[in-house]
Amino acid sequence: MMDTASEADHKLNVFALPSQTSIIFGLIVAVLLGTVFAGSIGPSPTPLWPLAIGLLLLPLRELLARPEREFARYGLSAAGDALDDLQRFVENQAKAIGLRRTPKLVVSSDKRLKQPYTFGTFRHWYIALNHEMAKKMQEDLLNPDVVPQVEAKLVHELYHFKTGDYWQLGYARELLRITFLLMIWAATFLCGLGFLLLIAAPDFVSFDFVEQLNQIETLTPEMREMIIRIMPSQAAIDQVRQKAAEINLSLVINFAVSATLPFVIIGGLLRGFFWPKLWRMRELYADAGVVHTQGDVKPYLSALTGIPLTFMKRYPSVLSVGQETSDKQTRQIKNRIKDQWRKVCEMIKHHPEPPTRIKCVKDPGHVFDPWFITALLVGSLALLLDILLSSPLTLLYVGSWPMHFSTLMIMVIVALSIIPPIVQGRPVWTDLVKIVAFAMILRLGWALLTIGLLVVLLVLAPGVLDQVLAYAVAATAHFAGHSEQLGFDDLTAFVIKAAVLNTAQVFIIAFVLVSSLILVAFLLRRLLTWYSLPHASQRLMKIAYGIIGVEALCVGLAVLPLLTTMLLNPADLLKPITIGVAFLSLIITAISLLLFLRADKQYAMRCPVCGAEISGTYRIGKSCNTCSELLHPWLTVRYKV
Amino acid sequence: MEAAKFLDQPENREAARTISQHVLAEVEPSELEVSVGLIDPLLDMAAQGEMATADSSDEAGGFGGSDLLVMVVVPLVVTVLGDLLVEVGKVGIKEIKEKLEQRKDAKDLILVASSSNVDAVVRHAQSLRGAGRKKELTRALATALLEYLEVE
Repeated sequence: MMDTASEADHKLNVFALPSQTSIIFGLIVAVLLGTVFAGSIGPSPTPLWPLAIGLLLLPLRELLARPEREFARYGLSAAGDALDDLQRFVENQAKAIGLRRTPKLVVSSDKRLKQPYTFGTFRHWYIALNHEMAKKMQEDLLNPDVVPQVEAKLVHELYHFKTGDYWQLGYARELLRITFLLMIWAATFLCGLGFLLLIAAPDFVSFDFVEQLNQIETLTPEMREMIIRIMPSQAAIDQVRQKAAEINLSLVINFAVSATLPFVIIGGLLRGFFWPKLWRMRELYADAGVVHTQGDVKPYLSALTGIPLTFMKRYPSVLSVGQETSDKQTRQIKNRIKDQWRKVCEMIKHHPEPPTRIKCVKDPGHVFDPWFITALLVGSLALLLDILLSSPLTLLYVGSWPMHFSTLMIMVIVALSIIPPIVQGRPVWTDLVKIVAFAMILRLGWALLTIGLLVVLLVLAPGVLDQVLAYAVAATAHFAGHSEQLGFDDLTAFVIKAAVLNTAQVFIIAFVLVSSLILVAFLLRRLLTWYSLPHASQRLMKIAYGIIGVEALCVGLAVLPLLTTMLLNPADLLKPITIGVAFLSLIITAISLLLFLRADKQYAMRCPVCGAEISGTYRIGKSCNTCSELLHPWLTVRYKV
Repeated sequence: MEAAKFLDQPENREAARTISQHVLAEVEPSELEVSVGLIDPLLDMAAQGEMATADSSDEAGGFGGSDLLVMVVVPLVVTVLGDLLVEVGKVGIKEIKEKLEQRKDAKDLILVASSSNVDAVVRHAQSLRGAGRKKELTRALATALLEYLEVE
């Protein structure tokens, strides 16, 4: 919130901060593609890499083919000469906002096309409009009172290209769709393959190649000898036969289902909740683009509400007179429930509710989620990732590096999410701790649920537990479909070890996360006082990302592996690979820290214009006490509310 | 036309603005913060016999909807005040107040006026949010009117 009237015009420039759309897109891709790739490089008897390659490339292919499908779906065609003025207007607007190419206007008479929308590939961009709407827009261009309203709508669409969300959404949409299809296909294929192997196994086991050769009368003894020589040895054939004899159809189905079902379920959850959020976020950014471009919120409000701009213009302000809800009203439980219910309903919508959109335009800080929403996002995704990584494809890695992937993911997302409040000059320590605590509570809940189930089975039905664990082992990629070495010698010892390690890890990781994030927050806050950094608008956020990257490297390659090795295999602590990797990452961290301190000495707390020392802590819209130069002007934007 | 006449007088307009704010505060307090500045432009529209229509679409990729409750509340308040005006045969809010003080059926009159217009206004505004809150709107409008016009 702005503190003084003099700062009221300086709004937070959301485009100078990490894009929330890109973060959500990155999360969806990392969860789905990352885990399949991790599973593909493991020692699996089933070749999973084609699945990973398919999941990477098929969405890309679909993204490139999408314009063709959209043209067919709505019967779209090029706007034509009759809409030249509108196309020229779009061209001018595209240039004005710095787009490197102009989207083509395409029109259709299809009644389903009620509102303008954007789509495209990396090289071809389109804005689709209903023909009637396009004609009306072109007519409106002749009326100066309405032009800003038309401009607002078109600039909103153009900003989808400016932010690049059009391809992120296009790719994510296809990734989610293809994950579902490909995993269903993979489950069917694996089950079919297992079934085929099972049918072929008896024949294969009883098949005697030498005897078959001997029955071929046309072969000369020399040829027979030669063929036998190039055949695998009898021992090797016996080994394969033994493996074939051990194939168990139920275990194969168990593997196929356990390997693919988590992807289908988690893909569904991502589609249900994260996908609409991605849509909502992109709309908020496009709205911000409109008010930044027009320097006024009235044309945007007019475009959104349909209230003619002439009526809006009669009043000096249509937003700043807004009053906060009174205490009495907010205290009413009924209203609180209503608000929460509205927020829940909003979670599955493609657009933010109009009040939310207006609120974000009025105070762009609202674009960034409050701590609870970030906690929900981070916690649920980390939990999903933990469950997904416990799937057969990746269980072997998870066994060696428990919770590392999701921990690093939490660290990076929380670090990115604290940049906006730090830029706004808000304290982040408590939010940071609350977010980590929430994620850890979810994780602890999951761990306790699993441990509780193990204990209950151990006490009440040890035989069932033995069977369940055997199935779990058989379901991992390493043993897929085989029934050897599945038993546990000491079930009680296994359950106790699993309980202690899993519970301990939750607390240890929470401690690692909080301490590393506090360090990141401190460095980021300090970074924002580098007022005299040359080209700060282009470099400062890159340095911020660098800080987060180095911290993630240190935690991912030194802190977590060392802690895990200490917990699981203390004897491996002195292995050269363990020490080498940790040492290397610590050296990189130390060098980065030294560079940071050197730059800090050079650029911190100094006015870029007069060189005078700047006192006090950083806050948005802060000016130099000596020359009144606005510090970090690129973090703010001015427009009328 | 009645609404236009009614809104010509500053005190009447102030009454419509205040009542609209009260209704919004009761029905959708979280919207008040962003919508209160739109009341005046909406009153201007109403004064010219125009009414903004809400777009409730949530089509992926589209510009998005405009379903703000204020777009229902303002025309509703103006319509109901216009009806009362016709009923008591006066054009000023003070005169309406005085006239209602003398009538025994004042409360009933307000309650009937509040409830009889909600359906039509919500339908005309094409507001889904309004459609889901007709009862609350009726109740909040009646309460705000009774309070403002000091009818017991």
